[in-house]
Amino acid sequence: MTPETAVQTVANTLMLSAMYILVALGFALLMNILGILNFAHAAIYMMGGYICFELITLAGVNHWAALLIAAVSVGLLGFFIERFFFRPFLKNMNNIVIITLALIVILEATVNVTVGSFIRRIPSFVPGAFRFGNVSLSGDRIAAFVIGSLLLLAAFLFIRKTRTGMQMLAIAQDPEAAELQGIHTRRIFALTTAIGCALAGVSGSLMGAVLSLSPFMGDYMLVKAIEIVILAGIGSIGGVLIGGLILGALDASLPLFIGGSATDLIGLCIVIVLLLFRPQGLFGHEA
Amino acid sequence: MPNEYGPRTPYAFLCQDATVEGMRASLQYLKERYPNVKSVTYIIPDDGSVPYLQKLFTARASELGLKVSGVTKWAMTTQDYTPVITEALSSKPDSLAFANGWPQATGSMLRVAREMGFKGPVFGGNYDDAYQIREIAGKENSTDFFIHNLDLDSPEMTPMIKEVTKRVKAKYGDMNGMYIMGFFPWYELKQVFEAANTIDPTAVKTAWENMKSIDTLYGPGKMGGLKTYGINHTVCHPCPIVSLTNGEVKWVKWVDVYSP
Amino acid sequence: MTARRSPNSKRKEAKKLLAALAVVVLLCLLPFSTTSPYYLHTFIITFIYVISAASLRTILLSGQISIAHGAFMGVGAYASAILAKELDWSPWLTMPIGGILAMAFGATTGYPLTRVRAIYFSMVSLFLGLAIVALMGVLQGITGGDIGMIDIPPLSTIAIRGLPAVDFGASKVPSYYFFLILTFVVLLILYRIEHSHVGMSWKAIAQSYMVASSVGVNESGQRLLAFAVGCFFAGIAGAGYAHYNMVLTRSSFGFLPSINLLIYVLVGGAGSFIGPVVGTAVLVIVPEVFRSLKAFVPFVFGGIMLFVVFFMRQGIAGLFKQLSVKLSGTGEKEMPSRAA
Repeated sequence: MTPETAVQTVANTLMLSAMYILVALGFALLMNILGILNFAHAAIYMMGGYICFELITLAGVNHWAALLIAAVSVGLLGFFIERFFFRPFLKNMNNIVIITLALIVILEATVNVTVGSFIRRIPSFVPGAFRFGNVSLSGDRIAAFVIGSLLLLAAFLFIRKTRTGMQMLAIAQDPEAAELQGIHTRRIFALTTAIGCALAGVSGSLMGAVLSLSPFMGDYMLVKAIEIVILAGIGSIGGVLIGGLILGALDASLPLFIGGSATDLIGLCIVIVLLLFRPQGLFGHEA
Repeated sequence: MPNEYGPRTPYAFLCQDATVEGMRASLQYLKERYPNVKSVTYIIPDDGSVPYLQKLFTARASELGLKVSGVTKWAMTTQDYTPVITEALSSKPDSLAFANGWPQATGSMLRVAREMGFKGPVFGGNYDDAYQIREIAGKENSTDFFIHNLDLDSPEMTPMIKEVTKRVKAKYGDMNGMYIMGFFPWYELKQVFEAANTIDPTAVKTAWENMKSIDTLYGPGKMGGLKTYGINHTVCHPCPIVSLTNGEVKWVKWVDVYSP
Repeated sequence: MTARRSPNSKRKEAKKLLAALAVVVLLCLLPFSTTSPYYLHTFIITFIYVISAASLRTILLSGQISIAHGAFMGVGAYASAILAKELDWSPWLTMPIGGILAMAFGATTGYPLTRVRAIYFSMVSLFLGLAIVALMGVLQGITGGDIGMIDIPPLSTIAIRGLPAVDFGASKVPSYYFFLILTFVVLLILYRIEHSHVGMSWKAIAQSYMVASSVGVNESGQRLLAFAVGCFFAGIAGAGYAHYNMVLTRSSFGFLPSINLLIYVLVGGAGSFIGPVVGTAVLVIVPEVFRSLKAFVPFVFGGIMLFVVFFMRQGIAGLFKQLSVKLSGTGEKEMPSRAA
């Protein structure tokens, strides 16, 4: 491997980690605060991307405005999902699993039959690529990197420093005790779901420009998000950074040493081994 | 693939241009249009066909005097193709060749390659839609790219294709390459049945093997394929090439390809 | 706590066995009313997935929700197919070997997995399943990768002197009866296991692994056993699928199929033994009935799932229980079993 390739790979790692963390954030929020494994995250991520796409191409809306509108729309969808699909079943996690799976099946099928499965792409947010010495980075990826980092920081600060954030932490520890302290758990649940979905919408829109759009684009990204959250450990937002970097490093460097299915195999084995050494995740609480 | 078509399947005939023929045509056109290109890197998804295709690609490339500077495999589950292209470009090839995959992969890889500053020619795998590739790669990156596919609006389509297009539009109001590919084998079978004067499979097989020439929707064809596949049941005929130049989809030409 | 059986529960069991036999007899009559290969095929696929789903529930009994079950079906499938195709062994021999290999693989990978619990276990099992599928891709020399493996020999003809030969290649009817009998036998075995001492330990672990350990249950050992047993039958189901379908691709054993199996069990009702049977039957047959809807079939699938969750808290099988309690007019005489 030449030094040039090595430097480019480091850059690729940072970009890829940012992309994965961006997708994982919303998922991590729901997992950490509400304890819900939201499979539907993949579908909501995808819908955010499609809404942004339609706004830009059909309605000629400015890129960033479209991003915002898409995020808000799926955020509102999150309120709806929480109210009718999560709230009645919070006592029984098995049922929540079935519900999120049913949601992803139905939402993906809806987009598939309406918009069609032709692969599209959102026109670039930041067109072109930029060279820094021997390294080139595409504008869209830089945008994803910046926004991803800002959102991670914002999520971290929000949870730790704001009143609502600390209420979320309280609920994550013990919902009943939190209610006894006067925290409006129902409102916080709704807000958390909405924020989680909005984050999914943002990442879907950005990824729709960096990669491409298809009704099933969320499926494998969801697996990456799960890997990051489980590696980080449930209960840790900051751990998402480390988990994301590990996964990004693996996926950016393994193709250079060994291509093909072996990259999948080795990457997954490394994650499994890490989890076997720390069964509760790198930064998680003991079960 | 040897499983599906070869000496073990004496009744199988390859009547249309498949991956291998498209790749042969593309390499030939590459050499023709870009004579200064000396090396090519082959980028192929790891779906089980890599050793087989790699062998055929290398053979064809050396026939044409091209050096294969590398073969890069990528996992079917790849989301971001930047590491794949980084690896492919590390051997500093003059051109890139994609195999198989699907429009999302080809388009993403073209985009990444151009964004990383690669200026050389790139060609795609089999029959991906050039318009989809252009959308995914972005217009500014869609240049010096060509792919083995049809352009149904071009006046250089064969009379048979134009006739099929006319009838399909009249009957169904819709047209795409699938209609051509669906009709392809039937047109050949008709000639074969007429040559054999029967529909008995063994007689038909013998008749087909011995046909001196057979007309196809893409132009005149002849039988071949003994050296490449182990059985001479391949109908070799001109292959269509379409290019993306400065963000425009342009018909290029028919490349006549014979698989020995 | 030993599995002592009161006279009443013996009667209940006899009733259940009778009901099961009645269903089997009915199913035996199916090929006489229709020889359409399509109907037979649908039922055969249902049988195969019932075996898989029931064995997944066996793993669930010990409190482990595994999302790798599809992958272990694949291990059994490829093992049996490769042995039969490359070494020319009879599929009657390679099928059980496929099951054993799947079990061995499950035991080896399950051993370190006993360190992780609850949701971490489920997610690590997900990664394990994906890793197994990736391995199938890496070993493309023998598995064919995504191109797939073809020409897998079907179950060899049974030729007993004096009786007509049973040719599995000729029509689907022999396969139908084979899988019907196999499913019944496997369900019988799994039922006996569940209601044995071992099954009791598993249920104890599921309720609280700490309490179970404190009364002397070897928690990790039993969990490993449950996992291995489940993987064995998954391997059998997979091997059966390989020789029935005669073609294998690794996408049949990945993330989606594993999730599907879990859905079959949960929707059918994880709390009762026939839950996975009912869930599989409904979720395989009903979407097949609506196949003409093509791209809209997922709506049927998702719709059934939502309907069951909203209106049948214990899954479809739970509905049966409620109905049977209402119809018999008496309350349950045994201790009600806790849902998973």
